Formats: sequence, structure tokens, C-alpha cells
Amino acid sequence: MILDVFENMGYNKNMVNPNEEDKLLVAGLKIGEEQAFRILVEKYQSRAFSVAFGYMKDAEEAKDVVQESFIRVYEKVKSFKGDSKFYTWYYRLLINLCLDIKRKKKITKVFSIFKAGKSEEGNKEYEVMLKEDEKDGPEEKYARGEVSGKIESCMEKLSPKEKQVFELKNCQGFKIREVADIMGIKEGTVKALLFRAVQKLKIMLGDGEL
Amino acid sequence: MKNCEAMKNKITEYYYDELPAKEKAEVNAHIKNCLACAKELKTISAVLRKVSEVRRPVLSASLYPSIKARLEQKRTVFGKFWNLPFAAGVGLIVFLAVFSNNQNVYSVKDVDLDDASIISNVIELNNKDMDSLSSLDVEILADELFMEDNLMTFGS
Repeated sequence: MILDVFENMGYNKNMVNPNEEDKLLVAGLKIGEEQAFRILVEKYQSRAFSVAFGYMKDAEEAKDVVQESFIRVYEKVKSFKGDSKFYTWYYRLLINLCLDIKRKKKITKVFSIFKAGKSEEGNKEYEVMLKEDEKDGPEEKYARGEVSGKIESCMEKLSPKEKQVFELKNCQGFKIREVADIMGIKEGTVKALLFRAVQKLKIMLGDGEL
Repeated sequence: MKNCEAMKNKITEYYYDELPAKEKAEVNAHIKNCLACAKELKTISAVLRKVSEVRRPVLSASLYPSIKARLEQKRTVFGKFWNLPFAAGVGLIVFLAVFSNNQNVYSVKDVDLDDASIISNVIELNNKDMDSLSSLDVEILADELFMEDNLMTFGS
């Protein structure tokens, strides 16, 4: 079946039931199909980048983390038994990687406190990659940037779990059940964390009057 | 009031449209008659709408080529690391072979010349060789003479 799908490298998305798509791609990757790996990367990279950016706050670092996460997928896919869905397994791997790198970065920061310039480079890249609305003038762009910065800094004040739940639910649009699967916690816990996160943001963002 | 607390807990899920149909209908009915809960829904909706407007960078191109390059680079590095113990192993085998051979040479050289039995064995061996060599020489000489005689006869 796998070989049928990837025969002559002619993978056709329309031929496959979307629910089965990941299973086929993972099976293809397990037998070393390069095409399957490419499709998986291109399917998940945008959302993965957005998730990673939520943690790293730096476009270049987020890109590096996403690349590393896919390298780990390639290396560890044989250990993926298929008990859970691929995307829950992948996003868990990605989030753990983000947290791990952030932790290491914090330690490094302590030792290189006198070194400056790295964050500026990241912001530069952020500006380059930012999806600009052509209709916006410089003032509107500035105002939007101000609001985005304020919201992002408020989100940083949430507890790590609250932020993680809020990020996955609100920013990435996952269902509560999916967030629970990715984080490996109960749906009830996700609901409670989400409620707390929203209440905190409501207070921090001045009851919606931005 | 107790009902309001329960409803407020559900407003976030209501906003995200994650409530089961029955509970959704209950919240709908409640906010029509409760000003406080209606206000709470309005506030939460405004906050979450704003948060959704946060602008983040997007990827401009596929990451696949760079991921592939990194994987290939990693594979090459691992290849080198894999070759290193292999080369070391081969080197060790060659070294051991040379070393053991030298040991054999040294063991021959390091004969205890004070050992009378070894010396007598060597002398005996040499005598035997000399005997056999001299008889062989006689045979070769006889053959050569025979051939020389015959050649002279055929020549004449």
C-alpha cells in the first residue's frame, strides 16, 4: 500500500484519506522514502515555525529549532509506534526541544552577559520575515507593532503551562482534545489552564481596551 | 448567582466553540438574561480577538533543502567518526602483527648461550647438514660430468 502511494515518486494527496495521510507518510519515512519526509516537512513547517517562534521570540532561532525538530523526526521515526497521532508526537517533540534550547540559552546567557548584538540580529530577521500588510502606512505598522509587542509581553507573564495551552489553543488553533494529546495531560486540566490564562490576559490587557 | 459562576467557567470554551450542543444552548439562554455574563463574554471576546491579531513572522520558503543539507552533513560527520575506530582497529591489528613478529625474532636472538644442550643440538644439526650437503654436491658433480661427457660424444 505504501509503495503504491509513493510509486514513481507520484504521491497524490487527493488519493489519500487525510486521516490516513500521516500514517502513510510516516510509514514511507520509515522505509527511507525521501519524498515522504519532504511532504511531512512541508506540511508541518509553517505551523511548527509559528509554535517555535512563540517560545523563542526570534525568527532565526525558531527556524533552527524547527530544522532540528525535523532532523530528530528523521532519526527517531522508527521509535514512533503509531499509538498516538503523528502530529501530537511531533509537536510534543518540538515543544520539548524549544523548552530545552531555551533552558540552555538561559544558562549560556549567564556566562555571556557582556556579549551583545545577537538579539538585534534576530529582530532584524523578524522584520524581514514579517508579513506586512501593503495597505498599512508607517504609523499603522508602528501601532500594530506596539500592540503585538504588548500582547506578547503579557503572554510571557503567564505560567509556562498556561502559556503552552494558550499558545496551542489560541495561536495555533488546536482543539482542546488535541492540546491535551500534545501536552500529555487531561482535557479537564487543559480547560482549567486555558480559563486561567484567559482571565489573566483579561486583567493584564485592561479588560480588552487596547 | 451560583449559575453565573458555572456559566463564566464555560465562556472561554463557548468562545472557542468547544462546548457540546446542550451546554452551548444553556450558555446561550443564560447570557440573553444575564447582563454580567453577557459583559464577560464581550470582554473575553475582545481580548482574544486582539491576541489573535498578534503579528508573527512567517516562513518565506521551504525548510526542506536546508534540513536535507544538515542531515547529509551530519551523516558525513558520523561517517568520519565511524571510520575512525575502524582505522584505529586496522592499525592496532597491524601493530600487533609487527610487534609479535619482532618478539619471535628477539626470542630466537635471545638464546641462552650458556645452555649446553642447545649448543650440542645446534652442532649436531650442523653436522647433519654438512653431511647431506656434501653428498648432494657429489651427486651434482657426477651429473655435470656425465652431461659433459655425453655432450662431447654428441658433438664429435
